[in-house]
Amino acid sequence: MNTQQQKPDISQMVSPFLIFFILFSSQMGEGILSFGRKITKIAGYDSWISVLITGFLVTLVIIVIWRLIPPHEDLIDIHQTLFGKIIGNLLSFLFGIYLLVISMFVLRSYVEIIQVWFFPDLSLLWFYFIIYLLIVYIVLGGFRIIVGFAFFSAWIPLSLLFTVYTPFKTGHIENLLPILSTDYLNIIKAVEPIVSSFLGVELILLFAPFIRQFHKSRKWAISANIYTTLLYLLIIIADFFYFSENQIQQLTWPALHVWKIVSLPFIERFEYVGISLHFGSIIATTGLYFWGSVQSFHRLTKFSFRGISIISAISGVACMFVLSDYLIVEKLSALLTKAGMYLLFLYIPFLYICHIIHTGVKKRLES
Amino acid sequence: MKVNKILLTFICTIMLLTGCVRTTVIDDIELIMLYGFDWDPIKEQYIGTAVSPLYGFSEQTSVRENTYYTSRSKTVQGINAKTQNKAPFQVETGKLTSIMFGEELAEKGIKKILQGINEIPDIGRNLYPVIVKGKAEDLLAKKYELQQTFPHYIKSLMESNMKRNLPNMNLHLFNYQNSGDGMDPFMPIVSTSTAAADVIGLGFFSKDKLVHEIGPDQFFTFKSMFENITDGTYQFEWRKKNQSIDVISIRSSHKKEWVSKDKLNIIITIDGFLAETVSVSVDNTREKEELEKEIGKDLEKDAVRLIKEFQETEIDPLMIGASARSKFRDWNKDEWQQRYPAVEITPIVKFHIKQINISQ
Repeated sequence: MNTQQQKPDISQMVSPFLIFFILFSSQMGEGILSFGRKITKIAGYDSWISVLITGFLVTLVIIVIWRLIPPHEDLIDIHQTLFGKIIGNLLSFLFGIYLLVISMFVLRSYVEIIQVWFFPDLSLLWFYFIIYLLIVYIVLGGFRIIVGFAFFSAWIPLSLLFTVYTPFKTGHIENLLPILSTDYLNIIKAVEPIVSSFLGVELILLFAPFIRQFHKSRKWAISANIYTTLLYLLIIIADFFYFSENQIQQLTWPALHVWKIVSLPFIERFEYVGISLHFGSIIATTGLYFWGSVQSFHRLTKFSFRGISIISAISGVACMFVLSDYLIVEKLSALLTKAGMYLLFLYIPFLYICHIIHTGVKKRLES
Repeated sequence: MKVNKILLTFICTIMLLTGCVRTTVIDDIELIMLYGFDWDPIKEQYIGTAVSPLYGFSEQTSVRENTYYTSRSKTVQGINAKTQNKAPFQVETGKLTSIMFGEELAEKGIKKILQGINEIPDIGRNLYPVIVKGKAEDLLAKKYELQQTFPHYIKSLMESNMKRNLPNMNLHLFNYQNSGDGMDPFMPIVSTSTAAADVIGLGFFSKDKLVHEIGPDQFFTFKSMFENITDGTYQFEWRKKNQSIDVISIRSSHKKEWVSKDKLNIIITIDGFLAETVSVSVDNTREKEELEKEIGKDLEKDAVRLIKEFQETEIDPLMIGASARSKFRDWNKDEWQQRYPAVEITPIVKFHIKQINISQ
C-alpha cells in the first residue's frame, strides 16, 4: 500500500478512456432502484422527459467542468487561485465534507434495502465495520485500485438489464400516451429528485490530475453520461409500462418490484440476486466518493492519506448511530439532493464565470 | 507486511459472522404455499387458512397430506402470527402459489388483505388471486387424493387455464388494474368438485369489491377482447344448418379504435379453424365467407351482451378508460366515470378460417 502523494505522478495516473467507467460507476448508486417513485410523484407518466432533460443538463455541466480545470490542477487549486487561501480552503473543506456525507448516505440507503428485504435483524455495527474495512482497503490501494473496482462494477447494471424484458413484453405501452399531458412546470420540477441519481460528475474536479491527457478525455465522460441517461430512461419506461401511476408511487423501490416477477428455474425470486449484485455498484460509488473526500482533506492538511481515511471510516461507522432512523435518512436524502443540484447547476457554473473573469483580468494585467 | 497479516485475520473473522443473521433450514420451516381468507361477520375479523404441504422425511413417503392451519385476526400479519402459534416450525410465506378469497369477503372488499400481502417482501408477484365459491376454508380443509400437493394443483390449474380460456391474471396485474385509472380488476372463481377444484367463472371487481360474475361460456369472448389469444375454443351454434361447430382460434388480436369521444370500436381479428364439422362441408369461397361472417356475428352478439353488463354495473375490466386516457388529452377520471355507461362500444369481429381440419 503506497502512500498517496499530494500531486500524482505517472505511476498513479489512469488512461483517459477509464473516465467512462469512473463516471458511470459514481453515478450508479441506490438511485436507480428508487428514482421511479420520486419522479412519478411530481410529473406522473411524463417524468421520463425529466430524465432526458437532466441528462442533457449534466452533459452541459461536464463541458463546463472540462473548461474550468487547468492542466494538472484540481478543485482545491482552483479554489485557492480564485478565492485566496483561507476562503478557498474553507470551500474545499466543505466540498470534502459533502463527499463524505454522500459516501455514507449511499451506503446507508443500500443498507435500508438489505434490512427491509433480506435481514431485518442484521447487526448494523458489524456490517458497517466490514464494509468500511473493504472501502479503506480499496482506497488505500491507490487511485488505480479504485478505478479498477469501478471498471468491474460498471458491468453490473448491464447484466441486470434483461429484467426489463417482462415489462416490455407484458406491459401497457399506452400508459405513456398522451405525451406531455402533465404541466411543463412539473416536468422541470421532477429534475430535482432525479439529479441525485446523476451525481458523481462533481468528483471529476478532484480526479482530473489523476487522468492522463485529461483534456482529451471529455468525450468519454460525455458518453458515460449519455449511457447513464439511456439506462435510466430504459428503466423508467419499463416501470411505466409495468406499473400504474398510483401503484408506482406506493412502491419504495419500483425496480425491485419489477424483479419480483422474474422467476428463474434455479431461483424463485430474482430480486435477491439483483440486490446482491447491485452491492458491487454501491461499493464502487461509496469508494469513489470516499476517496474524493479523503483526497480533499489530504490536500488541505498535512495529515497522511492513510490516517485521514481511517478517521473518515471510523466516522462513517459512527454515522450509523445517527442515521439509524429512516425519517432522518429521508430528510438527508432531500437535503443532499438539493445540495447536489445547487452544486452542479449553480456552483460549478459560478466557478466557471469566476474563472473566466480571473483569467481575463490576469491577461489584461500581463499585457 | 504486518498490516497484511492483520487484514488477513480480519478477513478470517468475517467467516465467523454467518451466525449474525437468522438462519432457516429448509427441513425446519413451515412453507405456506396457499392462503385462504374469509370474513367472519359476527366477530368482524378475517379468518385465514394457511395450507402447507409437509414433505415426507424419508424418500419412501413422498408427499404427506396437506396440513392446514386456521386462525382469526384483523390483519394479515396477525393471521401469520397466529398460524405460527399452531405450526411446529417457522412459518415462511416465500413460496405462495395462490391466495384465495371467500365469496363473502370478496363481496365485502379485499383491500386490507391485499395491502397486507403486498407489504410482505417475501411474497412474489407471480401468484394467482382466486375467489372461492362459498368459503375458502371449506375448500382448503378438504382432503384430496391428488398426484401433486393441493397448492401445486391450484397453480397448474390456473396456469393451464390461462393458456387456453382464462385471461391472464396474477397478483401484479391485479394490483395494476386495481390501482390504475380507468380500469377494474378481475379474478377467476373456483369451486369444490369431486377431484379438487374447478374453474367455474370469472369475478369482476369494482375497486376492491366483487360485483359481477361471468360463466365459462363467456370466457372466450372476454379473453378475445381483453388480450391476444394464441389458443382458445369457442362453440358456435349454426342455427341455419342446426349445427354446433367448435371454433378453434390459432391467434387473435384486438385493437381499440376511437371514432369519437363517445364512440369506440373494438376490432377483434381471429384466425382459426373449425372442428367437429363432419356434417358441414365448407368447400366453396362463398360458403366459407358466409360461415366466417356468421361466426363473427355470433361472437359480436356475445361481446355486446358482455359489454352491456359491464356498463350497467359500471365496471371497466376491458380497460377502456385507460385507452381513452391515452387517446384524449382532456381525460378526467370523475367525468369519465359518469360518462362510461353511456359510451357506445361496438365490437367488430373479423373471423378467418385459415386451415382445414385433419378430417374432411
